[in-house]
Amino acid sequence: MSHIYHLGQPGERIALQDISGDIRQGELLAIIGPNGSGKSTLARHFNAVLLPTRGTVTVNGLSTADPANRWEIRCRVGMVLQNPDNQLVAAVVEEDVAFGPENLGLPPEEVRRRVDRALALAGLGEQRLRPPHLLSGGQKQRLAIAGALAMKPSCLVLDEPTAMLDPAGRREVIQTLLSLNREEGLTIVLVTHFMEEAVLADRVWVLSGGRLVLEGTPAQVFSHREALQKIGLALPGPAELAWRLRAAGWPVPAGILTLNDLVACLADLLSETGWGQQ
Amino acid sequence: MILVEHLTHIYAPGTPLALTSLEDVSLRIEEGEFVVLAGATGSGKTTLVQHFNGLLLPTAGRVLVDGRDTRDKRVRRDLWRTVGLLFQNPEQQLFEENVFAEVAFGCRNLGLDEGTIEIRVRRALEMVGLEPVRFGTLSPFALSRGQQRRVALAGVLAYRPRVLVLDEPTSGLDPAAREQIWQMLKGMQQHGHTVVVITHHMEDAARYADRVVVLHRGKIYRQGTPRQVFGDPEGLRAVGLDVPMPGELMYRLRQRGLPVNTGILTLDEAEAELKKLAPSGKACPVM
Amino acid sequence: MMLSGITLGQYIPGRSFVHRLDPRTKILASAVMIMAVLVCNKPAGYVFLTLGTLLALGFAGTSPRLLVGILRPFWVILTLTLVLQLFFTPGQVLLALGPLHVTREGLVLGGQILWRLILLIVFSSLLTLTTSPLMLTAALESLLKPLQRAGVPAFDLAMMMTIALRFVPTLLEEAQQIIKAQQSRGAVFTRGGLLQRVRGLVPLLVPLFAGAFRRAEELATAMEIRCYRVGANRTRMHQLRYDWRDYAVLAGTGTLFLATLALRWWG
Repeated sequence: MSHIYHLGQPGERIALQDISGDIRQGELLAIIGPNGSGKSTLARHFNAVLLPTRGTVTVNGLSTADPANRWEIRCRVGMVLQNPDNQLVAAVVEEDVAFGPENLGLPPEEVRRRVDRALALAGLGEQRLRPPHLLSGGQKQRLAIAGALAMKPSCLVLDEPTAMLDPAGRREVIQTLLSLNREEGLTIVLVTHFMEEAVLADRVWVLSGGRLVLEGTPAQVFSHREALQKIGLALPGPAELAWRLRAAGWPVPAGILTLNDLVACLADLLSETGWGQQ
Repeated sequence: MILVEHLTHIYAPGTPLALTSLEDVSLRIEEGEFVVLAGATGSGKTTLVQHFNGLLLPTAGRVLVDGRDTRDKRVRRDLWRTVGLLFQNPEQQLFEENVFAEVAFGCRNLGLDEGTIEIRVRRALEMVGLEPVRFGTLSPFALSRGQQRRVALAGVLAYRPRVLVLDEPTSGLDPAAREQIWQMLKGMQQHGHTVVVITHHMEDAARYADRVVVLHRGKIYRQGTPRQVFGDPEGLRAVGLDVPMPGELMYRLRQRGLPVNTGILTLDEAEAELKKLAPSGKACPVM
Repeated sequence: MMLSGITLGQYIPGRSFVHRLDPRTKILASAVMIMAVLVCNKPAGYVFLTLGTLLALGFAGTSPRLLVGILRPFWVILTLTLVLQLFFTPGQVLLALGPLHVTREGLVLGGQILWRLILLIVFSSLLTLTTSPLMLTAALESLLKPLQRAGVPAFDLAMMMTIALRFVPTLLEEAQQIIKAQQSRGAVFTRGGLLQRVRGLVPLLVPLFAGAFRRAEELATAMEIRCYRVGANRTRMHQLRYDWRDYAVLAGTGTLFLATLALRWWG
């Protein structure tokens, strides 16, 4: 799969300006940026909810600007929004998941199959007959994911899906996304303002003021500490601490992003030199 | 300042939908304290703070503010002047035609004169980092979400309640905006206000709170200084919370047999603690 | 403004006999029963209808407590109806309270109207209590299908209804939140003269509408993302099928209706 964009929106408020890039089949791409940087606007271009003012967005060679492609693109690129309460349509879990396939006019048996599979993938099999408003925040967001999965997309775009969740709910959703990416080979685009989540991606895009200012692997992107700070983003905690130690002359290698990395590195470093035994 | 005694709260008691939200909670919040309330969704945090300004009344037990019982109707009517409560996503309660009027709403309800209101609104807008001249005449609906949040916050600051209670004031904001709000709240405490904040951001809680109270399924699960509460990562994770990264790091290094102090809350402290082990980077052999 | 207990029109999931009936059966049966209640004017008819209602409640697994919850929001209307009929129907005086007279005719009429109202409320609630909004819509869609050919947009009407049902509880909750939030900054909704009260509603209504529009916009996006198209042909995961239970229920209610009708004319 590939998307190519050259986006630009003239007018009083330019939301996005001259963004070009491609998303590859099977990757997990994180899009980060401060509030108002255009992350959500960009995400809504990926499945033809918004159309570029200038430039093009293509999904598997299909341009989103062509109305004839719109439904095909929406089946290929599923989307989950920030607020779970505003995207659930039905009053029973499995009926909500069925909403998408029913819209496609699929035969009832096929809808049933898809619903069962989507619920299993999102780990909601046991909740199938419950009303959504009694689910926890993390479960509601996994339900929204199941609803998107029932369309059998090859790519899932999530617009700050964890912003309204507590830490446990956040972990649930991220775990679900990681397993969908790793085990089902689903392409995932995760818009987030949690740096700890961006670290888990294969690649990261950094948006600021509607422009794509940085792009690369998490290790590459988070090596630009000052550039990120200037636009109001902080390094993930472990990366920040590693940077400070390195600045103080410690031989901490570059590319430390997660707590696991940092613990392993420091434990090695400190025990090798004998400080651990003091 | 606020005294909670054996508070139990049940929603819709006596119906099939009855739900016990708080059970036998006792808590004391001192004048001038900065308290963080933490807990997973549904742990009862929001229900608890809505008792502080009399929006909810105890099913059993009682809540005293300045020694006065919130069950007393006359006490309750004026409680909002003392305990300023900012709801979650407060940008959704804005309604005035311009920012100035929005921020002045609380002051007008206090019955202040226009001159005083003008001064207070300006001051409040400055405190939240919105230039009064530039923003005062704009419609609140034309602002970004982060700016709307700050307008709502200014609306509480302007009528100067002695206690500020904020329900997840930083949810959905980016790191820079989050930091700004915490700094501002710390400033309010230094000016003598009592501050109570509900949050999921444990790192922020660790840096700013004098005391952390963790709720779990309607009961107090842990309370104490951040150092005491965050010293037990396993316990916190069990109730669906995160542990601040620096504390977790030290805890895990310690598990690996390194002689580090585990009562660490902030990155600065972690940095200092590690440097104690190897005072000068130059002493390190290059890997 | 507090909403306690059961919200009007709420669905409570379950596996009872009534829950598992075809939703079309439930709509038709409810309609027939409501007509029966309206045409009924003989004591024997009320006995039949009451027995039918009790039977339906039993098969739906409705607890007496839930029944009280259903009726509670209506107690003001119910009491008012009874009192008005009691005191203002001319006839044979049974009891005199100062200038007010309770009459025999008033007692009969008041009791009749009260009982009718209760039966109507119970029946319409039973339908929404035991049928999920989506099933209700599916049923309406199916019942209205003949009209679709005549140019009535039955599918879209049905979808509009589902969404309205889905969001009523959400909006009620939101209204409560806003009231509390404004009270927290000193707003007063219950004091002052009429003008002051009306003006006092602005801090509630503006955010409520703003919120509803925001939700509507997001929901529209969410539906579009999942390929919802106005006027397109949708399918249903749950196919509606009548079985013997449905025929039995329809036959039962039909008989009850004819019996009441017969009593009215010849009884």
